[in-house]
This record gives sequence, structure tokens and C-alpha cells, in this order.
Amino acid sequence: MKKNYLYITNPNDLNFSFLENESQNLIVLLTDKAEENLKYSFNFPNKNAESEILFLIIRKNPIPLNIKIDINHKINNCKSDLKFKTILFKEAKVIFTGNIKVEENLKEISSSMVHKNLLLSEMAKVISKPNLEINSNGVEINHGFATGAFPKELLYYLESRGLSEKKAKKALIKAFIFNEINAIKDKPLRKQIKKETLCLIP
Amino acid sequence: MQNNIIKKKLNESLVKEISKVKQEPAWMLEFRLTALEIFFQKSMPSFGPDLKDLNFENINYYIRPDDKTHASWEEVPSEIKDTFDKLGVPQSERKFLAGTGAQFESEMVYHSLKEQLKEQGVIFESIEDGLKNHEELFRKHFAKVIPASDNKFSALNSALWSGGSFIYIPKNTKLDLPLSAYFRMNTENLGQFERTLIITDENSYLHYIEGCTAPVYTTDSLHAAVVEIIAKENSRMEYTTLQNWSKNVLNLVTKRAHVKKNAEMFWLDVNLGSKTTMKYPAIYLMEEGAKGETQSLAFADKGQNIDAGAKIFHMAKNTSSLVLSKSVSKNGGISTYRGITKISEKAKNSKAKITCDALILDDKSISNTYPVNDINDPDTNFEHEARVSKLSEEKMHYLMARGLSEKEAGTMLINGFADPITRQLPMEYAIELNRLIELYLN
Amino acid sequence: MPQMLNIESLSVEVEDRLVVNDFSLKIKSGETHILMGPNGSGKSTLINAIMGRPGLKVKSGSVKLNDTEILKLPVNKRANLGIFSSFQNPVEIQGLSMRSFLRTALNSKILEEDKSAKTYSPLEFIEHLYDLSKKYEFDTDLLLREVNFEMSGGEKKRSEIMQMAVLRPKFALLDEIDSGLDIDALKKIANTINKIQKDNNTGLLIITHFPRILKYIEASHVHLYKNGKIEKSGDTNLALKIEKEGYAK
Repeated sequence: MKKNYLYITNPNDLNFSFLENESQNLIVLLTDKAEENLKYSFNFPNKNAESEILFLIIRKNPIPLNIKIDINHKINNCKSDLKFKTILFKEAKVIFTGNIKVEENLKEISSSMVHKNLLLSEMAKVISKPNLEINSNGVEINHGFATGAFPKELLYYLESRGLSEKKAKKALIKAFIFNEINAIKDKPLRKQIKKETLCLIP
Repeated sequence: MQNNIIKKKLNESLVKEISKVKQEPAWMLEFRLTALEIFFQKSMPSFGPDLKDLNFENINYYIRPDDKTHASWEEVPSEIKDTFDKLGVPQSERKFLAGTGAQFESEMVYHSLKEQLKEQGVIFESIEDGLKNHEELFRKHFAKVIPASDNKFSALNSALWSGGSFIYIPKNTKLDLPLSAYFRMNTENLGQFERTLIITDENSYLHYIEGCTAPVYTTDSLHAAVVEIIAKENSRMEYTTLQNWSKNVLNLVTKRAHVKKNAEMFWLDVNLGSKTTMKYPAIYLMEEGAKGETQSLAFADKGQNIDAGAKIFHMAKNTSSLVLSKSVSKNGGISTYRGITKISEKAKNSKAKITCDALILDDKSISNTYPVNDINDPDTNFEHEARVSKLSEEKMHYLMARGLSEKEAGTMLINGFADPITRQLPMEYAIELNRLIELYLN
Repeated sequence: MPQMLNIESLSVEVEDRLVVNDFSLKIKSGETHILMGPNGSGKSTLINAIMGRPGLKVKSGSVKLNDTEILKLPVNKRANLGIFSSFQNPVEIQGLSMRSFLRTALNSKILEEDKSAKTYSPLEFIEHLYDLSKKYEFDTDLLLREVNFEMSGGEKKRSEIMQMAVLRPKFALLDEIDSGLDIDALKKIANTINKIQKDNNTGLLIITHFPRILKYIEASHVHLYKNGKIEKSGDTNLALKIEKEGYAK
């Protein structure tokens, strides 16, 4: 299967329909410049379509960011795999609503949505409403959501090797987000995204 | 007996009559009347199963001094009678479960238990007796956890409540054996609008079990209960529900617990019956170190819409919560998890975990998951996982390769799926539940 | 009565690839056949096809247990008739106790042989399991667990062989039962297999790519498996030759 990469920064609306026998990888970077209400929809009207979608969200902007995502599975043998990496500084707030919908009588559908959030200030907030509406039993649907502060053992480990607290934190933020970026197979694109995300981390 | 039941329209005079029959103090009548007004003002829930067939004008509201429905045994649907047979429910209990008999023969057991409880200072009475005999304690806590204005059905219950339990566990008292509404099934707890109020005082422990696994037949089509719990400092309260109403019942229940410092609340909720269920047991972790846990198991069959879940509010530091929801849908059944876990700004250093696991057994059935994760503190350790799948073909093959038939293998896998929850039930309930799961599947 | 498992001209496809190609082998009660071949040569597919794993396509050929063609039978029927296969990666089933699972399996087999036979009650079965665990030196701990749940690799192998002891198969197909075990564990499991075979006169087909298991299990036949069929058959000497020269030759 052909694997394509597409990288978009701060899109307002997205409405994707994936093509038959295509493997589409999408990377979306959302920063302080994003509009406050975002609506993205990903549709699978054609069989044998696969999509990996990575959202990188790095914000300090106090205006709440509303992201609404719809994933619609309408035909057999499709796979959608969404990952969200969110880092919030200062008073940033993200409200996320996700809907995975699988229509009746479908087979071999796999869909997964995984959120990992890092809240780096007392004022940062995240609300997530990941909804699953599954009308078919030929499915394997997963959803995961995790929010945590920096693991203290990790910070301690780095500091014990001589890093300042600030540097240790920055290293961990980098690791948090690069973890996913490293999986991008397109090398120039990988470099570009690393560069752009690093600029956003103080 | 049938003559004792008065069928009424829903209005002020009905409420006044209920209060009069129960010989209530004036403040309770006032409370009921205010609640009725709130009920008329409130709109229907904006979420969840379709309730448009529910017409409050068409419902019969009963005033019966003994609070029982006495249908005749002949009216009980044959499928319910069959299930009693298959489960081996004793004859003496059948009539009661079917709502056709008043007496239940564990009266003796109940009496000796009552003596023992009295010595310990435990109050375990019907809600009516609770109000009559302990008015001060009752009034201090009643409707404080769930005000009438909480939602349309809590308002309706507040106006019309009748039947249910009042329990108070004194300081430093730990009951080894679960208290079960079963013991006083001959009284009022099959009411349409039952109401339960439980207070566990400091450093006490109670496990309360309501319902039973055998199907409960009732001619009342609406069941809107309210359960309020106050778990005081360092106490632990476990509340187990086994819901198996007959499939004509709308089961719309409001349950909530206030949990104080270092106290623990545990809801264990099993839903097998009813046409429609809407039930989201809530836990308010109000003070430091409070813990909350909700585990639920639902089986939705043809024509059933089971909308259940958990609401957890972390309102103080070092609080922790756990939600585990498991559901199975088959034959067109709809099963939904709906819940919220909120970490407030004050809930420093809190922990929350939510796991939703759903099985869909065929193509006609539906599974929905609607969680809300609301996190307002950065030091929270928050995890949420949801999974929807069918029975694993690999596991089916493994069991069948050892000689199990498809049916046996499926039953075993589903019992295994439910096991993390059923194993926490008292043995006799767990065994009955396993048999019911077999009946559900075949 | 001596039994025979007769595999004749069996061809099996996996995802449009012919993996077992015109394979034939006769196994009699009490015999021990070792099938050796390199990794990825389709040995497991052979066992899976005989047991009836979904997802495989039998293109042609037959597998008979005495006079009964088993390829058309559902997998549980094959098991009830006395075919057992071990799994390379047995699934973990949380919540399902080993005891209730094995009791149902054994009772199905007993009823298959004789519809009016007496089956095991839960209590009788526990006693039966303890007897077996003494006889075959199993940890009783394994019996109390959930099916393979949170078991180590070695425990899973022992769990598979324990199930074989309970089900007393006429023919057992053992897939890489020796892999991932250290020498002591291998010795122990081989001894148990020998005992179970002796007690039930089981015909064994053991698949492996390490000849070392032959030190502990006496083979009546050794076969070299290549390109979906038996390339060469012989006795233990063939295995020694393979050990020396490898599969390449």
C-alpha cells in the first residue's frame, strides 16, 4: 500500500475522504495561531483505506481551543489511527470532542484514538469527550486518554546526571513530542516538524 | 387487597393524600409540594434514550398504605415464570418477585438480625419509619445530597416518594455481613418512587445490597428511585445493585454519594432487566483523601436500552477514583456508557482511572460510549481507556480446539468478561448471575 | 483397539500462498513422529489445518481418524473425537477458570464417546485434577489460575501439556512445545509427555526445529519437512544428521 504524508499547520476546517487502497498519513500542528473553533471530519467511504493522523497541539494562548473531530466508517476493511499529543502552557485550555461512528453491518474495521496530555501550569485545562457510536460487531475500537504531570522519577534521574531542572523539563517535553515525530518515515518532513515544534517550547 | 390501591392523576391533591396517609410532619408535605412544582417546570433530559413515549398523564399513581402492587399470578408473563423455573427460585419467593404476594418467608431471619442491629445502634428501617422514628437525623440529611431540583425524575420522586430504606451506621461500627433489602422485601421496596437514605458515620463500614438477580415483575411501568448516601470521615460504604426489572419498565434512577475526609464509596451496579435504564451513580469526593469507585455491568437484549455510567467529581486534594464499565449487547440491544470525571482546581495530586469495555455480539446491536474527562489541575494522574469489540475469534478457536461447543465457548468467554465484576458479588448472587448470563445467551 | 490418523495429499493455503503441499503421513497409536524443519516452513500450518483453525484454506486432500474424515468437522468435534493440538501462543482468558473450562471440555469428550456416560461434577473434577497433578507432577497452582492468564512462557507450555493430560487424546499434535524452555524445564515437560503418551497410547506428532528434544523423547519416526511436504524420513539418526549439517543441505 502506498503511504503518503501530508503536513498541515492550523487548518480551520478539514473534510477528508480517504481513497481506496490508500494509506494516508496526516500530521496536524495546532499552535496559538489556530482559530478557536476547529471542525475536522475524516470519512471512510472507500474500502481498504488506512489512515494515521497525528495531532500535535502546543499552546499558551488563554482563548479556549475547541476541537471537534468526526470519524465516520461507512465501509468494510478500513483502519483509522489517531494520536493526539497536547502540551499546554500558562492558561491554555483545550476542549476536545471526538466522535467515532461505525455504521451497521461493517466488517474488519479498526479505529483507535489515543490522547496524551501534558499540562505544564496550574492554570492549564483540558476537557475531552471522546464518543464511540458503534453499530456493528465487526470492529475493534480503542480509545485512550492520559494526562499527567512530569513523572518525578524521570526528572530526578535526569537531574542526578547533572541537568538543571529547567533543562531536564525541556528534555522531557521534547521526548514527549518527539516520540511520535520520530515515527515519521519521510526524513525532510520529520526534520521540518521537529524544528517547528521546538520553536514553540520555551 | 386490590381495593386498597387508589389510582390517581398527578396533581397537588395526590401529593397531599400521600402525605396524609403516611401521617407526615408538615415540613415533608411542604417539601413534596415544592418538588411537584419543580417537576412541572423541569424539562425532560436532553440526552440519552428516547423517552417520548413516557406520558405522565397516563401513568397510574398509587396510594396504598402497604405500598405493594398485587397483580394476580395468572397475569405474570410466562417468560418470567420460565426464568423462575430455570433459576430454581423457591416457590415462596416467586410470588413476591412477581409482585403478586406480600409475604416473604425470611421474616424470622430478619427479626433476629434486627435485634442484633439494634444492640449495635444501627438503624435499618423503611424510609417511612425512618422519618417517623428519627425525624431529627432524617431531616438533617434528607434531600441534602440530591435536591428535588436535581432533575425531572428526582423532582417527581421527591413529590411522590414511598418505600425504600433508611439506614444509619453509628461511629466505629463495622457490619461484617451485608445488609440486604431482601430481608425486608415484604415491606415497601418495590415501589415506583422508592427513596433510600444511608448515613455511615465516622469510621464505620456498611455493604448494602438492593435488588436480586431473579427477574422482578411489576405492572408499574415507571420506576424513578432516588438514593442518597453520606459517607462520613473514614467510613466505607459499598452499595450493590442487581437490577432485573421486567422488560416493560422504564428505570430512571438518581443515585449520589457525598464522601468526606478519607472515606470511601463503592457503587457496584449490575443491570440485566428493564426496557430503558438511565442511571449514573455519582460520587462527590468532597474532602481530602476521599476515594470513589464505580463498577458496572450491563447486558442489553432485544428491545432494551441500557444507558448507565458514572459521575465522579474530585473536589479536594489527594482524592482518587476508579470507574470500570463492562457491557454486552446482543439481538438489537443498545448499551451505552455515559459518564463524567471532573478534576477541579482544588483537587491537587488526584488520581482517576476510567475503563470502558464493551462487547457487541451481533450486527444488529449497538454500543455507545460517551465519557467526559474534565481536567483542571496539572498534577492529576488521569487515565481513560475505552474498547469496543466482538468476541475474540482466537479465543473461541482455542476453547473449541479443546472440545467446547460454540455455545459453551461463547458462554464461558462472556462469563469471563463479566468475571472481574461478578466475582465481587456475594457467592449466591454470583452463581445466580452466571446462570442468568447463560439464559441471556441462549 | 489401535487407532490411526491418516493424512493424505493435504494441501493448505494461507493468504493465497500454498504452505502445505501434497503432504502425506500415517500416524498409529503409540507412535512418536518428529517433524523437523526450518522456521517459517509451514509446520504450524499443517497442525492448524488438522485441528481446523479458521483462516486457512484446505485446497485438497484428506485427514482421517480411523475411517472418519475430520476435515469437514467443526473444531470442537475433532477435539471430542480425540485430537489435541498445543498452541504456540496460547491465548490468555482473564476471568475464565482453568477448572471450569477443562471440566466442560472433558465432559464433552466423555459424552461424545458414550451419551449415557457419567460426567464429572465440579467437585469430582477437582479431585480428578489433583490426582492427575500428583501423577504427572504439575504445580497445583496452575490448576487454580485463569486460562493462561498472566502466565510466563514456560507456564503456558506446562498449561498446554496439563490440558493434554486431562483430555487424554488419541492423537496429539505438539507445536514447538520445546521452544523457549531451559534444559531442566525441557526435561520435565518431555518426561510428562512420555508418561501421558504411555498411559493413553497416544500417537504423537511433534513439530520442532531443534533436535535437542530427541534426547528426552524417544522418536519412532523422524521427518524432514521442506517446501510443504516430507522430504526425507528416517529414525533418530536423521535428526542427528540435521543437527550436524543444518537444514540448508
